[in-house]
Amino acid sequence: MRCAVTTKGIRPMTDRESFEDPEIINAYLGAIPRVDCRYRARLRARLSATQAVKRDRQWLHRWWVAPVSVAVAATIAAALLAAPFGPHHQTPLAPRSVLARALSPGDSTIPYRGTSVVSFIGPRMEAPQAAVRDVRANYIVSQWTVRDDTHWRVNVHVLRPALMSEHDVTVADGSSIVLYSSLSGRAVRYRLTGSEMGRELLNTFQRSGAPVFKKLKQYVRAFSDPQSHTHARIVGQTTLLGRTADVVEFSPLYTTDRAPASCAKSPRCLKPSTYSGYGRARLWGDHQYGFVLRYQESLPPVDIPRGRGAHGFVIGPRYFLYRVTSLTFGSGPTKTELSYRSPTRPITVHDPGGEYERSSFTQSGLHGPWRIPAGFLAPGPLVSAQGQRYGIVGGGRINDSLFGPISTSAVYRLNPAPGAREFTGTGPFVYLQELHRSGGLPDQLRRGRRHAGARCTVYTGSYADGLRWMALARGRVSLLAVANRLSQLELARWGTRQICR
Amino acid sequence: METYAEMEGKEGRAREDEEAQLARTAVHDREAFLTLYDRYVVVIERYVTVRGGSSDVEDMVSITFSRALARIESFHPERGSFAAWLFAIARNAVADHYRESARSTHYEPGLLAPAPQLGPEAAAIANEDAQWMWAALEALTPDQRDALALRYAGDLPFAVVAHILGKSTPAAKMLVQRGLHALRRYYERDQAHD
Repeated sequence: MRCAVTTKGIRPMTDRESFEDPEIINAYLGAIPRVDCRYRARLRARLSATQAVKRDRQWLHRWWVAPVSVAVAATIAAALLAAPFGPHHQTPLAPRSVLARALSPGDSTIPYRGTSVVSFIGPRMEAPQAAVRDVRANYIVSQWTVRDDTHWRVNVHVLRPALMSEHDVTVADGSSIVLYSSLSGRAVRYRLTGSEMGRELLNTFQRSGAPVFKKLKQYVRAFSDPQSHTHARIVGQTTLLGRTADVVEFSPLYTTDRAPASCAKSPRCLKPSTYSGYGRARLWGDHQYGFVLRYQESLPPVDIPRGRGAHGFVIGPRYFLYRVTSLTFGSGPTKTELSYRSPTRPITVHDPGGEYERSSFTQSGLHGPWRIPAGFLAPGPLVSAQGQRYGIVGGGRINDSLFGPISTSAVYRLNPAPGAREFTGTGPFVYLQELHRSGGLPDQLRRGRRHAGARCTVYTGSYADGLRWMALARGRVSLLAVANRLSQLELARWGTRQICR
Repeated sequence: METYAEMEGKEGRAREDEEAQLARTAVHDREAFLTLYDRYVVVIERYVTVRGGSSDVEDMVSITFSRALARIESFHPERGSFAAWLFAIARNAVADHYRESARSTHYEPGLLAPAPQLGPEAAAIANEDAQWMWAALEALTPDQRDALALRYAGDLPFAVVAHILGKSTPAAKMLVQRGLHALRRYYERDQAHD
């Protein structure tokens, strides 16, 4: 077994010192035992697949997410904190950082109410690329009315993804906060300990509010980072919702900085490395109060070429749009709005301690076959009408730090080779998502063709892009499958015979 | 692929920047992490082999990269290069390995497997050469052994070696210099006896 390059002798180091004795160094290097390097490929595969754990440690107290909303956690908070920006959320110009700085504690005491819409494409994760727009496109409408940090109400409507759709209400009445999620069917009440806590939660839901532009130049300057080649600048004023808005432009959203390819064979190459920037974002801030009225970023898919010692990879597409669709100053929540009674009796939570943590876990088939976790529906064999077999090549699950697995997914491929890990590639696929929903299948997924199964009803339909879907609910689990080659009938047959059996 | 230590200062910095970017990207992009893995697995393997012996190399390399992956979010370029960060993890992995197995640093000649492509005679010579070297290394201080391992097995610049050891660059150079001199003296004595 021959391994990749290993040092057999002294190498030409540029910071070589005169005391570095080549003969001794060569003897030293020559004495290093050779090891069986076959483990490297195994370890690489393991790192690639089974260790694909991402933790979204959020500034959310466990009480509000755990008993309440899977969808809100997944779409509002997690989305704004990490999800829409895929692997690059730490780039300086992620909306998280832009909006978070805009939301620093301010002196916004004027009551207001309004509506905002957030739309974005979620992370590709383990979903096949062709299905991303259908299963990862998010559209969330929020209505908010605010008197101050401890008196406010936010209604959140998650419209897309269909499987995650729900309606949440969160009300702070000055002494406590009540949260209700239609997805979990649970409500929780927590004592409001102060304005800071109220503001934190309000910001999580609302993503606007505090003055930004009191010191606009400072704010803009903070985003100009020569090291990462990022820039922010005020590009003008415009009118939004009848209000004067300052427009700030940020660029780029993603940067690469690498040595030129011609240096690959020359260790002493002094050519400057090539800097590339991709994507840009714009923020519109209310000139008078500094509210974020709109924030938009886009980054088309870009192929980052293979470089010296580096694999090529694709960034994007990234798309994110936050916009306030109505805004009125001088009008806060009414007494009725603040005296909210949830459909289910709230659980009172006394322990605010600890952070909520949600982890997602993906695994390819390389480290043993992926299996649907316990607590979800485990479908039987998936075979096309022509007798072609689909097999699971990997999957994932989302764990809640308190409640264990809350959703799972699996990618099926046609006649997969042993060890195949074609999560995102092209070719025939079926992408499966399962989620615990208290209210059963959402209305949007009941509008397809009905197919009766032994224990549940299966619905099928087509997306605008031609992909077919199949949905069903059994017990607390709602299931959605998306396919690019299988027909609705084939999906229905699978659903009725192998899942609703 | 040239190694870290082969690069000129400017290009070395460019590489540091690129690796910092890769590490940031690796938080959510496994391919970026694998790029770093491909770049460092050989030198990490060599380093842990020198520091920990060859019997548990796979475990120590595995621990190193698994920890790196789990903690990739804690990497901050402003605190040092990715190489320094990764080798610090490897160093701890070796230390933990010894702590767990409750044994001191000891190189067993029997474990020194000669290169498989060598013939029997060459293999025997190689093994013999290795034995004097390991015996000589036993005479060095732990800091000297560590500095030599980072510098030559790890292919690291003195500045990075110094960062990992928590010393100044001149101090790191001094450790390496004294280590090499000690090995040279041992080698000459060995030659004289032959």
